[in-house]
Order: sequence, then C-alpha cells, then structure tokens
Amino acid sequence: MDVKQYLREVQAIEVDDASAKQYDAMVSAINAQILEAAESRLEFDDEPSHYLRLLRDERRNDG
Amino acid sequence: MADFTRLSMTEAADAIASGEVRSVDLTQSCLERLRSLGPKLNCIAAIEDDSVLDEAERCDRERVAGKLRGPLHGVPLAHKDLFHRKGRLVQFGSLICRDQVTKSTATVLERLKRAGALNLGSLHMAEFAFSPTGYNKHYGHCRNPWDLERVPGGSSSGSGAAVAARLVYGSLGTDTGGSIRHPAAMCGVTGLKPTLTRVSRAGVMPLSHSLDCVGPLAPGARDCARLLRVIAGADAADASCASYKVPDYEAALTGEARGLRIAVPESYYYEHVTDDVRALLDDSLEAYRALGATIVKVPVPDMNLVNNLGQMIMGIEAAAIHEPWLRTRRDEYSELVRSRIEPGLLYPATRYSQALAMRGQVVAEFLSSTLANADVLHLPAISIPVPTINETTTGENPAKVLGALTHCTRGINYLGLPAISVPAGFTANGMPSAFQLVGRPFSEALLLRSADAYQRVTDWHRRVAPAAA
Repeated sequence: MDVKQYLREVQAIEVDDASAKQYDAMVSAINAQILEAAESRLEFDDEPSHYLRLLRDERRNDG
Repeated sequence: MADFTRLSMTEAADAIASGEVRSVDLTQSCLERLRSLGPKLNCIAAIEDDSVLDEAERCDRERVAGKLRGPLHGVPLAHKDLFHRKGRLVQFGSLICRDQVTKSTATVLERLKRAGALNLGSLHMAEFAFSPTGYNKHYGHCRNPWDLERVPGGSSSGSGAAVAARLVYGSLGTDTGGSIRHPAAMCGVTGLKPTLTRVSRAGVMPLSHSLDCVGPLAPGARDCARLLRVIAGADAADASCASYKVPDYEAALTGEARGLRIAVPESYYYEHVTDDVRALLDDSLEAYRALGATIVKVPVPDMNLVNNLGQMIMGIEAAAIHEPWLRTRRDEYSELVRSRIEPGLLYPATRYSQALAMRGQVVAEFLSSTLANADVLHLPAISIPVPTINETTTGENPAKVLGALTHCTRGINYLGLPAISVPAGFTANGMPSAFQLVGRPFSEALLLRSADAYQRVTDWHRRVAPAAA
C-alpha cells in the first residue's frame, strides 16, 4: 500500500500526489537511519526510563 | 524615571517594590504601547481591558501597606497564546481554535500571578507553535521590531517582538525545536529553554510531549532567572514535572566567569555560519576570555541523527494530538503546518519506541563528547543574519533559509538539555544576533550565571528596538 492509499484508507486523510511523494521520501530516509542506529546501539533492556535516570543523575551538577 | 522602556524586568519589579515607581504607571505605559505599537508589530492576540489597571492600583496600595505579593509584584507581562486562561479566548495561533474559550489556567500563569505579576494579554504565535520564523498564514506575519520586513523568529514570535519593543517586561514562550531561542535571538532579548521537565506544562497546548519546554523571554539573564524561579518546580497537575528543588537562580548570579570552561564545537554547528555572525560569536568568546574563562575545542557527535530522532518524535506526537482535526478540519490548517504533522502518521510504532529508548544513550554520548571537560557549550543561536519575511516564504530557497535558522537549536530538544540564547551584537543588516549556552541537565543556574556575567560587560540585551522608539 503506498502512502497516498494508506492515508486515505487507514487514516481517512486525502493528500495530493506531490505531498504523498514528499512524505514518503522524508519518512523513508529517517526511518532507515533510525532503524540502522537502533540495530547498532540498542540492547534488549534499553528503554525510555534510562533517559530519566540520566537526568536524575546529572542533577547534581546544577549550580 | 520617565522612560520606563529603559528598565529591565527586575529593575521594574524592584522599582515597584521600593515605591520608586507605581505599578499603575508602568502598566498604563505598557497598555498604551501594546495598543499603539502592538498592531504595527502584529504581535498581539488579545489585550486586557482597563480592569488590569485596577489590579495594578491594588498592587500599589498593598505595597504602601507593606505587603508584596512576591518577586514580580505589579510587573506587567504578557505571554504566548498557547497557555490556557480560564474563561478567555485562547487560539494557539490557529483557525481551528479561533473560538476556543479555555476552562482552566496553565500552572505557570497561576504561579506568575501568585508572584504578583500582571497579565496584560496574549501574544501572537505561529500556528500551533510550528515555524521557526513566526509564520502564520491565518493571522499574518508578526514583525521584527528591529526591521518590520524581517521575521521575528518563532514560534513564540509575539513574545520576542513584544519584549524587544518593551511592550511588556517579560513573557513566557515554549520551545520544542527552538521556539524560545529563535525569537529571543532574532529580536535581541534573552531566552531560556529549561531542561525538559523542569517547568510544568499543565494547561499548555502540546506540540510534542517528549520535547516541549516552557521558559522565559526577557531583556536579560537576571530577568529570566527571576521568572524561572517562579515558574519551575513540581506540579501535581503535570506528573512529568521534575520534583527537584528549585534553586535561587538570581542569587547564583555572581558576575563571575573566572575559571569557567567553555566548550566550542569543532564540527556541525558552524557549517552555515556567515562571516558576520562568526565575528560576533568570536567577540563573545573573547569577552569570556577577558572575564577569565577558558575556551576548549570539543568534538560533536552525529547531530544529523539527533535531529532526525527529534523530528520523528515531534511528527508522531503532533500527529497523535492533531489526528482528529486532520480528519475533520484538514482545510483549516495551513499547508506548512499540515505538511509537518502528516508525515508523523507514517512511521512504524517500533521506530518511535526505539527513538525514545535511544535517548539516554545519545544524551550520554553528547555530554561526554562536549561537556566532559567543560562547564557549558557555546554555540551559534542562529547561523545567519535575520532574514526578511520574503526570504522565508516566497524567496529563492526558503527551505535552505529555514534549515539554517534551525540548524543549531532543534537537536537540543531531543537531548532535553537546558539552553539560553544571549544577545551578542548586530550583523551588517542591523539585526540582532546571539549565541547559545547549552548545559548539563538542570544546570540552569550555571547557564544564567554565565550569561549574566557576559551581560555585565556588554549592553546588547539593553538595546531597545527602534519600533519602540
């Protein structure tokens, strides 16, 4: 299913061909880059709370 | 003290507290300026009626009786039209919410009120906070008070313009990819994006929950310090808000920069910087050297990845918020805003989860690369001189101009780090320019102290825009 069809059938949003092409190019590029980064970086137990822990641990630097 | 526009926010507050000036006189002056200059700058969403003068008079009577409400007693402010205000029209710069009357007031506005501040109205902004220039198709371009043909920066465009023209003494904005720092830099005022979670977002229309920050724009770092102390801290209405103690940011302003280690990036951040912007950045570093700071060159991790992580998260979270309206009221969005939200409907959920999971690791890498041996990171705020409205809309290559404007700001939001934009002089076109200082999480006190030290030996932040003359 292409972008235009997906947006129409799943999201009930009608976009023109130019927008669909532009969205597809952008999303594909970012998607691929992040997938590659995730594959090379993430361990099975990594999850968003690591970020919050880092914020907490860094707090001592305030001031 | 006839010319109230020469006062900083803290000077105005202290003058009211000491009885040197009356709140009602300052408020009257600001209301007159909002009414006469606001339309010229197109920086207003709504102005309060004269009943705010009654409140100012009450402040003056209370002061005479020896009672001060708080550190902002009687100080006239106004804020981005993104904050809920009970019983008031709040539009978020959009057509979709043009008739929206909100039922509650944002926590940060309640805190300002408790500290004694007066709210003179709501300030113009980019539609739903999308746009680094302040572009708003529905309500027209907000104008830069230094040159009405140039952009004020966005999305908190009205906040930057109104403070630069001293229509009010300070303003709250929000920052998801630079929306406080852009207007601060382009209008020549100081703007602080706090650490993610430092300030409550309850009652603030979200753009992206994982990136949004509320923060102050005001003439100087001292003003931002006072505003931040009032608005920061835990909030029962916002479970994501950090509960850490809020320091006395103003007390930390020692004027000292001796021994400060300032990191300057070896790569990425200077890629689009023009010669005249670079000269101002170099001058600011020289000022820090003269104050006894040390400058160290540091490598920077892959910011293209950081930017795209942030862009994807913003797109997905914005799409989740706007999805019902996209289905039913799509034509009421400008094309520019729609084209930034709709791609968010197309990413796999797994990628979103991975982008959030990577965040701790990416931030740790950034900090160990840039701030392992330094206290603050010194960056351009905007890479190029402030462009004209035409250059960012119908010009030869608006996308290139917009890319250059956001090059140095947007990645910081994915990292969640605090950053302050500090006026650093004027480029050849007569427009303000600025540098950013970026710090470790919750290092706002250090950022404010560093900015304040610079502002004690420069006066860029004290210049009042000519549209206000």
